Amino acid sequence: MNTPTPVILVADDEAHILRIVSLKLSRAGFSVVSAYDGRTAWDQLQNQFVDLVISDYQMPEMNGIELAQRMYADERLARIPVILLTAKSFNLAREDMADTNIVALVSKPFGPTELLEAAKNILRAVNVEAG
Amino acid sequence: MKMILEERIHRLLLALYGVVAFLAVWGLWSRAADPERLPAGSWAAIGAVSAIGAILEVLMRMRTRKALKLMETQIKKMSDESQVGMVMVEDDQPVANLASILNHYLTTLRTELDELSLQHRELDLQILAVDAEKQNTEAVIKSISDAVMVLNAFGEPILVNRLAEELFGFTIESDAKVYRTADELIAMPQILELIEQARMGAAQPIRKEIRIVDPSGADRCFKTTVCPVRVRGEALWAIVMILHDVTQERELAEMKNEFVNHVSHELRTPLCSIKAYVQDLIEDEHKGAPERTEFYRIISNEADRLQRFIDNILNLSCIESGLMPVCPVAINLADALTEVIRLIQPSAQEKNICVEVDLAENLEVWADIDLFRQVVLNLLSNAVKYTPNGGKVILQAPPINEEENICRITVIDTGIGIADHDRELVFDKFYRAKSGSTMAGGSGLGLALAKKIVENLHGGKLHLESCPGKGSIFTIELPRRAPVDAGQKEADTLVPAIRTEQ
Repeated sequence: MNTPTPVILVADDEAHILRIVSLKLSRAGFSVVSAYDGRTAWDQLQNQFVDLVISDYQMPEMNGIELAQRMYADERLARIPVILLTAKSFNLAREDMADTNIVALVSKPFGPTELLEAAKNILRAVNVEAG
Repeated sequence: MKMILEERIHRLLLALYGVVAFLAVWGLWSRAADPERLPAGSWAAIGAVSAIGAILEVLMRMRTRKALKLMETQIKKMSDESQVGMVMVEDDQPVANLASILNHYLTTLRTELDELSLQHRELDLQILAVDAEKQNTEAVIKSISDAVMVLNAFGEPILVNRLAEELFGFTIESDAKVYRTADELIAMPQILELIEQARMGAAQPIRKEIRIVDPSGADRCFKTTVCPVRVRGEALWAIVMILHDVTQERELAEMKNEFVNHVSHELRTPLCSIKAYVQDLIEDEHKGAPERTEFYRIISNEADRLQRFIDNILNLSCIESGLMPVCPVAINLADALTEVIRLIQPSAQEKNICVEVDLAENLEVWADIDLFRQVVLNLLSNAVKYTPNGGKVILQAPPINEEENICRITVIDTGIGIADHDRELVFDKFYRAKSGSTMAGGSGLGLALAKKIVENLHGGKLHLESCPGKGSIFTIELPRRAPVDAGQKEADTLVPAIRTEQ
């Protein structure tokens, strides 16, 4: 029996970063949905099921924390794990991430391979394997 | 001891009374022996002696009364004049002994009064010193640059300096006899809570940072210390409250954090792209040549972006600290802008944007050539960034009237335009307008730097006209010719330090 291909939503307003992360994940066998800002990412989540969200923190319209908080407040999306990418100069406080399902923080600059490994580990933890 | 006259008379009277008694006894005895015989001389003697005794008695009383009157007068005078003197009575006066005893008592009294008077004067001096000390203490408290309030054990403010008066919005009269409690005077729950904590037995000073809305409505931040003052370490005597205004420090810290955060974001983002693409190139050896070339181009562009940001931030810092070297010279506009137009072409072509150049012939400006190129490049980059694919960007410099000493260079775009409320903000550091639903790339420093270069370093003007949805027009105004004192300025210029843009 074929397991469905895991779907990862990647949201980042930096086109080059969005492109290379999406490329890396696609090559690893994931199905990738991309969004250039938080609001587009939210709209994508309304239209299709995803297994993992990788979102930048500083984005126009809706930042990564707001996106994760909205997801957590929605019963249908609350259990989807979120990896937050950040270029901030300091670590986010635990209370900043209250009421979210952010499971990992990845600081920029990062290597796509490390991000891919982090995504695989998180999906493995929730019993989802790449196709 | 000297015998006074009255004593002598008194003794004489006793003797006379003895004689009278003898004569009387003798007369009675003689009468008993011979009742017919009563010597007439004895009765005469009795009468004479009695008469003499009576006269002496009267005289003595008169003298005594006179002496007492004299004493009374002197004592009354002392009483009237509130003075302690001496009663002056002659030694042979009937009340001389009494006067002597009284004078001894008065002397003791005067000594004690003198001592009391001395003590009184010392006390007066001490009270004056305490008053002066109190006034000095109040003056010191009132001149402290922090808000200070002293409350008694009942929680009633008894001393408030000017800053505390302004902050809490009440005053205390210096001669106030009745005080009101802090609850009645202050409508700030955090302050009242701290006072209550101090009153309820806090052993150590309480320190807390609190935010207060002052009477003018401003939100302010204070480092507050509340010290309970205890007499011999037990009973609460007073509470001293000191509020140190740290509003500005907190604002500066927030601004610094925000700035560091922006800088971090602008450095880490291109660095992230570079690292990601380099890693991918290393790991994927089978990548095709076109994709490999594209990745190299992305890396190169991101490295340029990083360099631009670093140059911009350092240049801005130099300008703001007054350390930016400026070497203004007369420059030919067309020659100076050729390089700039070449530099903007790749990013314009990427978006299929047509860059039109319309410069009048033989135009000159008086400016630092590197800084001038950076201004025009920043404006063109901004125009390309905010113009949609297939749009148009125009670089214009119309002919100049010979009498006019101003050269105008205009950058026109068909981009998203800038809303009225954002027009003042576009020249702020890190401001970036939204492009449709997304934010345009860039560091948000280009326009801030252009404004400072034109206006702060060249004394020119940088204007913005914009129509949301249609586009924007940035106009640079710079002098055509050197100002009168330019020769001296030119001599003062230094070798350029950072400011590379290409």
